[in-house]
Amino acid sequence: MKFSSRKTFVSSLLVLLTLGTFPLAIYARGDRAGSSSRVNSSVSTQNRGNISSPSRNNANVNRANVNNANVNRTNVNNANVNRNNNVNVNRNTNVNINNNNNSWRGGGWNGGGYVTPPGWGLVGFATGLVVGAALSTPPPYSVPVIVGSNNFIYSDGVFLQPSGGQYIVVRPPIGAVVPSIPDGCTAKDNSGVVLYDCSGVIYQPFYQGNDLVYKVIRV
Amino acid sequence: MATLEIPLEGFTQTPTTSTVFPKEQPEAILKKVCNILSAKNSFTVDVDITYDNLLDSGEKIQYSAYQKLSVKRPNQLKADYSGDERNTTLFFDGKTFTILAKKLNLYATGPAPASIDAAIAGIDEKYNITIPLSDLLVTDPCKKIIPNIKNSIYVGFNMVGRVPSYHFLFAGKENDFQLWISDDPEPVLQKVVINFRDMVGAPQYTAVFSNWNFNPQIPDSTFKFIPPVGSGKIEFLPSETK
Repeated sequence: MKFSSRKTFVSSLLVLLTLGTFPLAIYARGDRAGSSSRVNSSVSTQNRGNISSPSRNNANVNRANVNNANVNRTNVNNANVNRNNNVNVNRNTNVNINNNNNSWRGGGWNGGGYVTPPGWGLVGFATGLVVGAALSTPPPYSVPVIVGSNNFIYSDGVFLQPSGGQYIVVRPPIGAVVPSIPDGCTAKDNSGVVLYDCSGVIYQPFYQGNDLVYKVIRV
Repeated sequence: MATLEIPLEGFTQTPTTSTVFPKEQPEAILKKVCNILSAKNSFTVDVDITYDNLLDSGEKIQYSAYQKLSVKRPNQLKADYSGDERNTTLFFDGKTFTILAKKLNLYATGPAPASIDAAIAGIDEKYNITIPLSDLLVTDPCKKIIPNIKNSIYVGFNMVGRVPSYHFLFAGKENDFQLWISDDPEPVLQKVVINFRDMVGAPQYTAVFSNWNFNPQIPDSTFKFIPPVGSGKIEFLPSETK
């Protein structure tokens, strides 16, 4: 399952060429494509400001935690500071595909492997996560994602598959719909279709109910 | 249910009798507020919102938002929402609706039924998109609310911020809600607290209203979505539960 960095780098370049190079003007620095879910929660009254509405549950697996999370603003502020400082280094050069914790920019796929997202340190992951890596503990925050008949858990750009009591880092499954993408992804307008390039993983944003969601369309 | 007389004793700085709600039942007063709202051709109001979110670990988090609502009956509506977890402007111009993600400048648009009431119900039904506090925007806000009320209590002439208001509790089938209604000749809603009694941890949703304007001059262009410079159009992804 391990990827060659070189190969991934080349395919990233191809993706970039295919996508065209002008980022949408609107994606100003500081705007986050995804509200990364950094806390697990399942009950929110966000969209319930109507007395007459029944207490309907968001049963959709892909949306289960979409409305909820986001406590990162209050309890992971340090992580945000670092992340923001480092965003531009990666985004502008777009060639840093090595695992390098100094240039960590919010979790996610970095070609050669995953880098530990902020907050994950809480459960003791110190180094980059490569595809195929097995973790003995689940991420501190995650959402379940089902693609076809396969179950994944998703956390800040990282997809894992539970297996034998462990959590195996896997390549992002095409078609997966997630509530957030890592910070620092680059927006592209591909002939009128908005796409986000997260170090070679291409997501397409959609509205699903009240929420923006992101679908993996290319890896 | 007994008829409640609204007691005003104990408030030395406020009128000793209410000219607004003489000896009426809470539901009748609620109906009066609804009728006032129903009779307006257009209005604008600002809402400050806080709501709860229960973590899986059991703790309760409070988030905030504010929303500016503009209504021009029968077929124009704008809900500009800025919050911790959602930043959207919803436009309805009588033909189409658009939801704009303000920070990311992404929008999705679709056809909508021709009236405010049908549009609110239609986009909820078809796209699963809800407009917070849209109960207030329909032709008769009480129509869906009153049948669900099982019990009503007048709590007192209580403060909303620094202004005393008529405070009621209504116990519903699934939710309880409290309303605070202004002591005005034309009473308006000052505050709502909805208690989701049946949900884990009984989270609450609070809305405080201000700047009610029943005679706004709103040009039609307010309700018509024009894509901002640099914005991107996206599509709707069907909810998988539908």
